[in-house]
Amino acid sequence: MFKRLLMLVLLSAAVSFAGQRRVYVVVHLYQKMVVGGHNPPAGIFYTTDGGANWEHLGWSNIIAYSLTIDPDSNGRIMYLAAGNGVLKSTDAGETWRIMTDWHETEVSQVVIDPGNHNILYIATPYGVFKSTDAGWTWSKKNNGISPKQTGTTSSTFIGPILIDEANPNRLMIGTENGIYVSTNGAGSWKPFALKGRGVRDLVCSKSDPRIMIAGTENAGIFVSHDGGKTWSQSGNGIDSLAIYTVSFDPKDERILYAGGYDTGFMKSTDGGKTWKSFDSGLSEETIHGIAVDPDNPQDIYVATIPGGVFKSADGGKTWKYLFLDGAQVYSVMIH
Amino acid sequence: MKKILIYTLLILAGLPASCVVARPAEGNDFNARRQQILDYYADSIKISFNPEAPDYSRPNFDIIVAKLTAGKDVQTAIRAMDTLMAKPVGNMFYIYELMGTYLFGRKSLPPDFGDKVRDNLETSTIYRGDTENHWLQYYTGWYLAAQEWNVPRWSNGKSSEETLKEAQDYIDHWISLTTSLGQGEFNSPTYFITYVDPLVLLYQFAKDPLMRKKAEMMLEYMFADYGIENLNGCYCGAHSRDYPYIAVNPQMAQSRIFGFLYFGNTEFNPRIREAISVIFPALSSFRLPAIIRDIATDRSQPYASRQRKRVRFVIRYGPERTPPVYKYSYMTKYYCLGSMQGGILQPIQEHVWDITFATRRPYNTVFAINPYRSPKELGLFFPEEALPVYGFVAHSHGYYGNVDKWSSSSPHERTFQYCNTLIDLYDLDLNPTELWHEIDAFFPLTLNQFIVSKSGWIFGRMDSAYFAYYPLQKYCLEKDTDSIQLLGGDEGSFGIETLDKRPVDLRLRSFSTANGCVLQAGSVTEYGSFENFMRLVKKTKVVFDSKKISVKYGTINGDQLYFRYLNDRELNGKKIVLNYPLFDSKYLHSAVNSRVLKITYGNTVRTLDFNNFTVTQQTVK
Repeated sequence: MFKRLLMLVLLSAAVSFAGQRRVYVVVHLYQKMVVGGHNPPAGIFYTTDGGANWEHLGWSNIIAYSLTIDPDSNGRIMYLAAGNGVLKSTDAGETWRIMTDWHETEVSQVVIDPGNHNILYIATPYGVFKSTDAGWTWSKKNNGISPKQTGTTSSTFIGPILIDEANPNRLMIGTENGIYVSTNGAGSWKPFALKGRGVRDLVCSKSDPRIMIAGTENAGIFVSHDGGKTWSQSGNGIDSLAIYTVSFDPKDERILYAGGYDTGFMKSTDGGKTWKSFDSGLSEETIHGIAVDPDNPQDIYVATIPGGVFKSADGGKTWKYLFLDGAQVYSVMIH
Repeated sequence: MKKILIYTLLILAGLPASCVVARPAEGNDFNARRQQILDYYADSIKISFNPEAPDYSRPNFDIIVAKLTAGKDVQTAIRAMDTLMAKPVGNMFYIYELMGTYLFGRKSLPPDFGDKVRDNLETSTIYRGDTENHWLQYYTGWYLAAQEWNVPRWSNGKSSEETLKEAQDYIDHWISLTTSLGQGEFNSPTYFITYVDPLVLLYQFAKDPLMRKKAEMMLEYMFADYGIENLNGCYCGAHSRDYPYIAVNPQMAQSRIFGFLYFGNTEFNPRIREAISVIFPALSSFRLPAIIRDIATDRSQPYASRQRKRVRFVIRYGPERTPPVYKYSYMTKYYCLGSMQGGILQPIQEHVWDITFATRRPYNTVFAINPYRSPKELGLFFPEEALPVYGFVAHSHGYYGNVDKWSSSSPHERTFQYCNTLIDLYDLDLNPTELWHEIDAFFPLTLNQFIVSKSGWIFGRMDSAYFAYYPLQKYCLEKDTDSIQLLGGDEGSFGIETLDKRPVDLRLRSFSTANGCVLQAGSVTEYGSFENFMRLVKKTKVVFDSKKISVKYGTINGDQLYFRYLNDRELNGKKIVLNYPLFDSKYLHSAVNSRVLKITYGNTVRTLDFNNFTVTQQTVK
């Protein structure tokens, strides 16, 4: 059955090649960006000391979404999902190559097949693309989700991609038109759940893959206990209905985290039945990414739009601003 | 409100600073106009390294190339180029302007300067942008760099061979898409230059003769498109993208500087924002065929033009990726009335219809909009999260979140035009995420006459052109308070000194849900005096059904129009189906997916065939 979103697998993976966990954030753009002008560096930043000091990595003049690190590469093989396409580094971010061409653009996520790291899937607003040669060539995989088949371009606006670790040919995608499933490595897609909903994030429990959480564009959070066949709206305690990120606590999966448009940091301690929002010290309440330290789940980082990066050392109750005020930080990960 | 007001409006005591023009070239001689441009930029602007200096005099590639090619202030120009390359902006504008400046100016550059440019692009990463004009610029820049130097690894990580192939592939794709289904960023008075400049560079410097040919043909295609909708250089009618300060004052559009160079039907006005973008075309050996200049300037007989373009790629919330845009324009010697069908066809900067007057007066236009904003509008086109992207858009386009803006798309507007009559209908049945519940019409204070008649019609005259505007609902008129931010301008912007801060228009506001207007245009040629025009219009009858949101109107010419919002368009009892070819007028013809444009003027027919990239011209007996 489904394992967790690969990004979350990466969060709990072994320590990085440097022997120390790094926190990476990806800056999408700055709120005051001037198109064509000199702007502050965007793209990847990382810290190795819990957020006291940050270094920039790679391209700075870029619109970027998320970073994926090959779990077997000792932190050396990185994929950056960006407006320019997929950028790949094989030397821990020192040098990069754009692996895609003009066909693939506005890539929001790169997902690695856990069984074969040469197989990659990318999420774009134009559908799913797949590579079987570590990113050198790509093919569009929209059979079953193309606007001509579904009647809406929302079905090719791809958010999360989930791979079944036990059967990597089985994938789920969250689209602006619900969840679709493929059982043949993205060769074709079928409608699966939450039709008509904009699914912005989708994760499943590591210990019990039947438990899934979906964050949606305009209907809040949904929880499934049967592998996505049926869903219930998790409304208690949720004010804002635009949810961009959901995740499980790495050590106690009854604890869930979520964030979205003007939500503050949301936490559930009962598997998603009820939620509570925390914003003490959180001057920006639109949250797009959450990363929980797998060694110490009390340490949590959030990526906000456009308030930069914040950290909590008490499981989300209180927050401290770290870095990048004015930046639309789209994602945060710990490796 | 409906009492008769007769404004003897303004013959401005003096044109504002932004409308002062340089001495026009004599006659229509292209070379004289070209030289006027080159001399102006080589002589009139001194490059300054003072960070406090105005934009246009600080180091920028356009002024550098003007100096280099003229052999004036060469050392300063080289220093300015070094300055730009030392801190590269690293985006699509940078790469094509850098390459264009190097290639045009290299005779004045030190022999090893090419190595510097190459090294710069090996290390400076380049953001591709997210619009069609960005991509054409990006791939043009890379195309020129990759053909110039055989490099194993550019900053994109790819070799020259790979980069050249990708660039050529995209440019070919864009040409094919445009000539098959129409342009995406179509008929933009602002963004027109961002297509012409890279195409001119490809025409001038591509080593592959076929690529040069493709660029030449696309330049002809774009100038033919602009040509049939320009009136004395002003880009008329519906536009995909337009800044508000240009929407209210077509005289200040960047495209107009190209009208000066290639059509010779307007004056050289270097105070137009980014007018200096004409420098690459002025340096280029590209010449427009006479037939395109003829169709751009012959306004001896009125003509209607039907066109089909493309909606910007719809990435969510819509049934199709790039639905058709249907345009209609009616061109005369004294005015042009043009429109597209309405709806959200482009985000933020859409301009659905206007009447543009042939005059030297500023603010020579009348139009109406529903000022609109919603997360859905942004989400249709932008990959960012639909709710928070508003904050970014509101910064980069400061007017977007302001009800008083003059550029806007709206899902609540539809139009029907036939010749010199337009029916504009709105259903302002907004959902809670949408703003605003009003329609606004722009009436410039530069009109010679402005009359609010008891008949319900609002009449206006600008020189020899007339309009009659019939509001379908109650309204108020107020003197506007324009601001630079609201108009989308910037005092420091290139080449422009100030935008008017004083009121330039009377604004009509109307707040009813079922709403709209009937617009009847005319001129001295068609209807004689303004008084006669008013008399004839007053005899016509507008029947508005606010429940159906429909209008029946017998026009000044005796035609019967019927239009129901989101439904039927009927002309003299016959249904009008919006299924236009790419071009359909007495001057231009192109069928959808044909990739062939036929340009006709008199007995001459010029055919651009993008299937095999051939141009033929023949005289038909």
